[in-house]
Amino acid sequence: MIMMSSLKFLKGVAFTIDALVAIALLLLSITIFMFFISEPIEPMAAYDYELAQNTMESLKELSVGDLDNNPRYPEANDVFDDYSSWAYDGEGGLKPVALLFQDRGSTPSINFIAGLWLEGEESRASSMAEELLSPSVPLNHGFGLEVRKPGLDCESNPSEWSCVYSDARGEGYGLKSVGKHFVYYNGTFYGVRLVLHQ
Amino acid sequence: MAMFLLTRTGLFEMSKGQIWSYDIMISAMVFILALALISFFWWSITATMNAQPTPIFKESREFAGDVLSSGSPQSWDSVIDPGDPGTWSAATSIGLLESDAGLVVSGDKLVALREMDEADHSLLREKLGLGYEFQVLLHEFYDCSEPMMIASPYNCEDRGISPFDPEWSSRSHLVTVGGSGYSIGSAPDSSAKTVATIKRFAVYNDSLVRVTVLLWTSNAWQ
Repeated sequence: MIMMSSLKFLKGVAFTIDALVAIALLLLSITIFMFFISEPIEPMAAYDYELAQNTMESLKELSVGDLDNNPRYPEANDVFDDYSSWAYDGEGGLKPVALLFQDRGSTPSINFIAGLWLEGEESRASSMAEELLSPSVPLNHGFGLEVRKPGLDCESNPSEWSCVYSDARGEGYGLKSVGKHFVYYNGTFYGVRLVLHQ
Repeated sequence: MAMFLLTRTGLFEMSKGQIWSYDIMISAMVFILALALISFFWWSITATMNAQPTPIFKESREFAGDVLSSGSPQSWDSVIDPGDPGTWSAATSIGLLESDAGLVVSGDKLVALREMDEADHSLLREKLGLGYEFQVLLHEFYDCSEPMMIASPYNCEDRGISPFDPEWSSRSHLVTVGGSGYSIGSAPDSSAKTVATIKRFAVYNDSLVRVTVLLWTSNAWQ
């Protein structure tokens, strides 16, 4: 090394500098090498924040009439077949959710699920939500469908939002995206939200 | 001016510029070490989170948006002959929805896009404005073993899915269009190093369907 002649008075200094420079270059080389040979995790998982709202929009597009007599949705059809046990109030009149069913050609499925939930038909609402969401939401996402009605949210905390159905799928609650919708039910607007998380 | 170095053995006169050279050598090493460490940790974090919007991911999102549109003109499938690439210029953009007013997929447009892909895959890719290989899949969701499904015209056995087939136990199935599962484009092969996947939902045949758009390339870090 060019400095060696002037560093004779300090034995080992030149060697130490050589070693340090070598380590620095080695680290730099490894970093650059790893950068070029590494491949991204497949599939590329940049978080897609539009998926939750798109899912909500498709649940608005899918009408109750689409589900009726559709063999892909046996749980929903069990609910429809059981009409007489949830459609009437205590005085023999129809509940608002029954009116939604009667107008099923134009009633979004998500409105009907929210209506069942607001009427206290919780297990029916949950089973329909599960049937629609569980197989369709990508497996690398957990999800929760909530309606603005006091209760336990999908993280089991007391909240203004109550959980209709959720499946964490072991993913925890990291990155989240939310799809929102408002349901006009029995003279009041209620918020409905679908939370996806990874 | 003479420079001196104080050591345990005495005071030594140094040549001009020695301290400066020594300082710059050490500072350069510290800088390189710090740069290497920061680069390494930055790379580790971004590779772990993998959240940076790379060009292929941006393009896949745009492509998913195009697929979930009605295209231009809205009835593009009726102004072209899908089997004749010479007529494709009449369609400004290609989308699968019946209209932009809702998320309902058009069966006619599904068939037309498949025919275009079969006629000239490379030209279709160019027509779609894609710089990468692509694949579009359409899935629907049901349980083959449900009595209601078994009794229906869509039952799995009539479509070649037997109870011994792994697909029987899956609730996700390719949508059948024209007698076969809907998948166009080319699936990522063993050379694919970067794959960007976007999933969207829509309604087809009175059912919820998932539209999966994949862009892929043999190059890493796109």
